[in-house]
Parts: sequence; C-alpha cells; structure tokens
Amino acid sequence: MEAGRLKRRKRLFLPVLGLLLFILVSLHLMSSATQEASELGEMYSWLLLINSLGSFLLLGLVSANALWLFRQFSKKAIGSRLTARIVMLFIILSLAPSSVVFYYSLQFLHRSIDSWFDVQVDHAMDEALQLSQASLDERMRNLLKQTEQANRSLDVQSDTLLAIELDDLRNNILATELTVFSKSREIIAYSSASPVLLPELPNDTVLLQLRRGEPYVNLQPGSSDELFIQVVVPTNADNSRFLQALYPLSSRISNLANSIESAYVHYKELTFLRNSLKFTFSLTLSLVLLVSLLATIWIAFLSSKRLVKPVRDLVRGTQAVAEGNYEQKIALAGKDELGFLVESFNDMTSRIGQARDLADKSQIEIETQRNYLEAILASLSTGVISFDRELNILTANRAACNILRLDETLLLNHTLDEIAASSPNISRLINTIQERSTGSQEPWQEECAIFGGEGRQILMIRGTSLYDSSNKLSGALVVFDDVTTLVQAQRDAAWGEVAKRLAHEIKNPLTPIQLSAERIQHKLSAALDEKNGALLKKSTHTIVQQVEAMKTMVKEFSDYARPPSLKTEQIDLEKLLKEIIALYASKNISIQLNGPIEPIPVDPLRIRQLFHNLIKNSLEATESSSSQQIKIVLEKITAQDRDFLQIAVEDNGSGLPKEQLDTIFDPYVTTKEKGTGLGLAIVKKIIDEHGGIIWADRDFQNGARFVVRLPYSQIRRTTA
Amino acid sequence: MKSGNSVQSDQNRHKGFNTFWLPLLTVTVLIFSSFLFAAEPEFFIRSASLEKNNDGWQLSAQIDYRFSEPTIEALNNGVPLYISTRLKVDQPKRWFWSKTVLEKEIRTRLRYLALSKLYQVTDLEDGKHHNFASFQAAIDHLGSPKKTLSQQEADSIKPDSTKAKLKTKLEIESLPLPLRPVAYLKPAWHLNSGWHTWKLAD
Repeated sequence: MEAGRLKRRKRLFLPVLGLLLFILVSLHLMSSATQEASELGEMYSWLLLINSLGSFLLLGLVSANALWLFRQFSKKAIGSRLTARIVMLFIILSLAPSSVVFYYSLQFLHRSIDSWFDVQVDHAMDEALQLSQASLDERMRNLLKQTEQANRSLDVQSDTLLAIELDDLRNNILATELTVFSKSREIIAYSSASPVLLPELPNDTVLLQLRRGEPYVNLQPGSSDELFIQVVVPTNADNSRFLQALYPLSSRISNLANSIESAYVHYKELTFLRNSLKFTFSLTLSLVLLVSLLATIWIAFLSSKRLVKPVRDLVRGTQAVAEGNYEQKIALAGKDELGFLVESFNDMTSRIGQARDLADKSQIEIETQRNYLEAILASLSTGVISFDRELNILTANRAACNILRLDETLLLNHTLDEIAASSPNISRLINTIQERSTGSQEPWQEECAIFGGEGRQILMIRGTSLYDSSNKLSGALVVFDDVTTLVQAQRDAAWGEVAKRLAHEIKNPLTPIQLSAERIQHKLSAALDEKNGALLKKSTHTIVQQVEAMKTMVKEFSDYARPPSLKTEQIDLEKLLKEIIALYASKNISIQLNGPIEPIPVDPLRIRQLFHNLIKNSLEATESSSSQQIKIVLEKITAQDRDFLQIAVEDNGSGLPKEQLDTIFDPYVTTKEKGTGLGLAIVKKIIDEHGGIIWADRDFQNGARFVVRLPYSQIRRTTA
Repeated sequence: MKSGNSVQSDQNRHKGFNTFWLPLLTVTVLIFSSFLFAAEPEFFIRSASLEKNNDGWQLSAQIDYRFSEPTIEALNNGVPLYISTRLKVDQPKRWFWSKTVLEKEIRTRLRYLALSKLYQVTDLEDGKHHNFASFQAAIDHLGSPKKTLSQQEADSIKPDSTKAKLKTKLEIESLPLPLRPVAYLKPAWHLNSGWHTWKLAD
C-alpha cells in the first residue's frame, strides 16, 4: 500500500511539475511577445489562449480541492480543520504580498505607459503633419495652376496628335505622366516618363467631382514610398474630357513627408492603442499573478494534505488504540520529525499490543488457575474461608457453606460479628476464629463444637495469616473439616471394640457360673435341710437369673458391636409406621404426613427396631405426663442436593436434659433408672447403617423431638 | 469480472470527472462559444462568380463591407486593417464526399494615409494599391474584387468541379498585438461573412 502510494505520488508529481513548467514557459513567452515585435507576436493569441486554459485548469484543480476540503470540513473529518488552516495561511502569505506587488506594478505600468504620451508631443505631431500638409498644399496649388495652364495650352483637334502634344507638355511642366481620358474612363492619350502598361485613372468619387467641373488635386503615394501630386482638370467646358498630371515630389521631400507621416501614424496608432496597451500588459500581469496564485494555492492544498496526512493517521491511530485495536500501523511519513513521531507511535502501539497480549495471556492463565483452584475448592470436602485484614469474609467454598449449613450470601462480604448475629449457632466457631486470627502470625489448629439444627458438629479448624508481597498482613485463611462423623465413628468403633471384648470376656465365664450354680443346686439340694435347701435354691436361682441378665446384656453388647448386614427393600414407611403404631394401639401416637412421600430403600427389620426403640423411648418419657402425646411427622426434604425422608418423633414428655444432649446417642447414656442405655445408641447405629443422620432437636420445647433423616439413595457407611 | 478495488477506482474516476473535468469543460465551451456566436457577420457577399474567359479563370464578387465603429476609428488612427478572402473549389467524390481542389487566399490591406488623407487599398498578393479620397470609395473598391487565377491555380480546377465557396473576414491576428485581446473580446471586431457557396457554371 505504501509502495502504491509512492508510485501514485511519483505519477502525479511529474505531470504536476510538467504542467507548472509549461504554464511558466508560456507565460514567459507571452510576456516576451507583448514586449517585442518578433515572431512571438504572431503566437500571442495562442499563448494567451494556452495561458487562459492553463489558468482555467489550475482554477479547476483549486476548485476541486476547495470543494473536497469543504466537504471534509462539513463532515468534520479528521485533519480537515488543520488542512484548512494551513491552506488559508498559504493563501494569505501568497496573496498579501502578491496583491501589493500586483497593485503597485499595475500602477507603475499604467503610469509608465501614460508617460509615453505627452500632450505637447501630441500637438507637435499634429502640427508637424499640418506643416507638411500645408507645405504640400502650397505645392499642390501651384501644380494645379500649372496643370490648368498646361490644359489651356493644349489645343489639339486630333486625338492622334494629342499624344505627341502631351509628350511635349509633360516635358515642359516636368510631370511624370500626363493622361487625357473621357468621362467614361476611356484613355484618349497619355504620356509617361516611365514605361507603364496603362496609367491609373482616378476613381469614381474623383470622377464625380470632376464631372461637376471641379478640378482634383491630391497627393498620390507611389508604388515604392515615393510621392506624387495628382492633378486632374477638365479639358473642356462640358467636362467630358479630363487631363490628369502626375508630378513627382523630390526624393528628399518624399522622404521627409513619408517620415513625418510615418511618425505621425505611428504616434497616432500608439495613442489609439494606449488603453489597449494598458489592457494587454495588465492582462499579462494579471495572468501571471493569477497563475502564480492558483499554482501556489494548488501547491498549498497538495502540501497541506501531505503535511496533515501523518497527523490524521496519528489521530486515527490514537482512536484505534483507544478502542483497543493495537494492531493498526501507520505508514511512515518520511524522515522528518513527523516521521519520527509516526515511528514512535507505531513502536508504542506495538509494545502496548504486546503488553496487552501478555496481559491477556496472563489473565487467561490466572483465570484458568482460578477456575482450577475454584474447582478444587468447590470439590473439597474441607471448608475454606478467606478473610481480609478486618476479618470480613472474602471467599467461602461450597464445603464451608455445607458444613456450616449457611447460604453463601449469608457469608460473603459480611463481618464475623454480623454472621454471629445472624447465625448464633456458629458463634463458637466465629469466636474461635476471631481469637486465634488476631495477633497470631503462626498457623494454628483447634477443635470446636457447634450446634446446629442437626445436632452437634465437631469441626477441626486450622488457620493461618496471609501476607502480601511486601510482607504486610493482608488477611487470613481458615480451613475446617466436619469431623463429627469421624469422631462419632471413632467413638462407635471404640465402643464396639469394648462391647466386643467385654462380650467375649464376660460371656465365657457366665455359662460355667450358671452351670456351676445349677450343679450346686442339683447336688446339694437333697443333702440340705429345708431351710438351707430353700436358701440354696434362692441363691442359685439368683445366680442363674443374674447370669441370664448378664447374658442378655452381653448379647445386646454383641448385637451393638456386630457389623451391619442390611437387607434393603423399597418400603412404604408410612405403612410400616402404621403397622408399628398398631402395636401401640392404646397409646396416643399419631402420624402426620407433610406432603407425599415415596418408598425408601431400608432394611425393614432394622427400621422396625429403630422405630420401636424411638417409640418406646418416647412412651417411657411421657409415662408421667397426664396427656401422653407422641407425633411422628413424615416429610420428604431435599438437602445438599439429595432427597431425604425426614421422620420426626415428638413427645410431650419431660424433654432431654441439656447436659446429655451431646452424648445421648452414646452407649450407656440413659435418663432411666432401668435399661441398658443402648436403645438410642442402637437407633443411631441403625441410622448410620442406612447412611442417615439423627439428632435431638435442642430447640424443641415441651418435650423431646428426635429427627431422623434417611436418604433415598444409599451411601453405605461402615463403622468399626 | 472486476475486483472490488477496480470497481472502486472506476467510481472514483467518474466522480473525479463529474466534480472537476465536466465543469471545466462546460465553462470553457461557454466562453469560446460566446466568441463563435456573439458576432453576427457584418461582411456580406452578395454574389460571387468564378468564370473562365480568355485570360483564364477569373474570380469576381460583390461584397458589402460594413465595418463597425471601433474598426473605423482604429483605421482613422493609423491602424491598418487586413482583410482575408478565401476561395475554395470542391470536386465531388463518392458517397457525397467532396475534395477541395483549390484553396486560395487573397489578402488586402486597408489603411489611412494621414498626410494625403487618402484611404489606400493594397492587394498584398501583387502589391498594387489603390488610393481613395473617401472611406466609402475604398470599401466600394474593396467590395468588388476581380482576381485572375494563376495558371497553376487554374489547372487545379478539374472539369468536374462543381462547387465553389468564398468567405471574407477581418484578420484579428494581423492587428497590432495590444489590440488583439480587445478584438477577441469585443464582437465589433469579429467581422466575418461566412461561406458563400455557388455552383460553378459548366
């Protein structure tokens, strides 16, 4: 494109230069033609035409450029104002001095021409001519008299002898030629000093005068600058014949007369042409001025376009950069300051483009890394929360929201105090974070228990401070895991192990003890008296009874410790519950269905045991209450993208002691005097086997509420 | 098929023609047409003939020379006026074309002699001049040219030449240089008879 532009410029440059040179040459020739009488004078009209056409051509070019500029200005195109300013400057700079020079040149020219003409010279020329005429008039009068005298002396009857007479007469009167002719211009006789074919007779106008009887006398220019005096007089009274005489003037007089006439005519012509001369010179000068001005204006347009082009390109380039296009390059504008500016601009945009590309690349990388980290954080089961320096939460991953059972909107961009106020169940966590994060530069770790609607949660929290590149504190990072299940599983495993070992260690001696007791009864009962026999029987019976009780306890322990072996089926839990409740027909146990529920995959036997244990527990708790009420609420809920069947068992008993709420599902935790304390532990175990959760609703007033959630899709969990 | 660039450049050329060359041409034609149509002929050829006689082919004509006031004033102030009279003889060719077999120019000078107060008419071909006491007599003489063609000129007139035409005009180019621009600009100086055509006698 640059090469094409250069080519176009070269293509235009030569014709432009050629045109200007041609016009200049023709102007010079025209100017020369007006000053000298030369061959150029013959070409003057052509030169004038060429220069006029050249002026028109230049005017056309200037008009086209002016129109272009006007359109650009109207459209407020880039660079149009600058171009207009430069062009105006050029015009003013060229017009002002040119006009002054033109005006004064014209004045000078006109005055110079006027100075050629003097009234005195004019008078002198007139008087010189008049003097010549007067002098010649005198001579003419004399020659007229002489001719009339000669005419009178002509007295020839015969035309034949007239020629001879004329000859003599001519010699006498010193005429060059004598001719006698009729009124019908018929030559009757003539005599001539030089051989002529036929003498020239007067024209009709002279003849008319002669026919009226008036003689005619006048100067007659000869064929070669000599002057004659022509005299024609009528020869007879009826004016039918005329005598014409030609008298030569002496060469000196002829020369003088011709000289005077020539000078006079020349001066007269010049005087007549005075205004034309002024006009012609003014026209030439005006054409020169016009062509110069038009050429200057045209060059001004071309130059300003050339000058403004790089500026316009720069403006466009700046706009492109502002719009984010860094690829635009501006063509180099030459080796001057503007070229340097353009080169610097190109360099700058190139670098900006590279920096932008680098930034984009970095941004993409950062985004990719961020997305990667976010994906990792989102899929982590560990909660990750980041804080700023003021401990406002900046980010919280999905696991953190799930663990704390809070929506992301309740966490992000809130202070810890605000979160504590809106979610008091995690106030302990917040307090821990606040205490450990302020003033601590080392990573820290702490276990913290929070109590939500789903019961106690044990969180293992680890925290660290964050620093920026200048090692200034920029925030904090806290990660936490819900280790409730782990702790519970550890506890269950521990209890299971204890139960297994106890069962094994205790079970073994029980049978021998029972057998020994029975044997003692059998062997000694006959040998003892009635009293001792009764004592023996009672004692052995007690031993056997207690052994049985211990066997039962050991069996229950074994059952608790036994690994689960579920046989799941799709069970309509409402129907199952109704069957179970039917066994407690005398009791006030109701079922409430909150919405439709679907069959759920559970082990029916284990579930029965579960509900039996819960109902028995509630019945025992409401035994002392006047109006025993047990309500079982069934509803399908969705939590953490999973469907659960939630069963809440509510009673209006004495409620649960607050100090036992944390451990109520542990083995051997009971509020009753009797009982193994394994009922709720077994319930929890069954629920764990089904992958569900159970908790005691600590907020339930007027009794106790146990909430069971069983998943519709099983995630098997095993406990040691 | 033209590419987008060549179509664009064609459009640009047409646009350039419309905005620049067309107005320029229009203005030029208008100005020069003013010269062509501004002046009505003040020279009038009433009749002309080209006849063969004993002396050869002779051209005779009757022309009314009606000079304008500026031309007469110029004449009386010493400016010589040159009259050019052109004769053309055509020979017919095929398809209504014709060939010019003879083209002759007769130049005459009319000037005023201030000393003798005579108007001199000079035939620039043979140098002969005739002097007249009045302007009217001079132009009467001027208006009755009689010219015998030379042998060479006569020989160029073919037997089948059918048409002759005659035109007379005032030569502006022969005027003094300072007067020429004025003469070109003023219609009074554009004295031209136009072509007078006639059939040659058998």
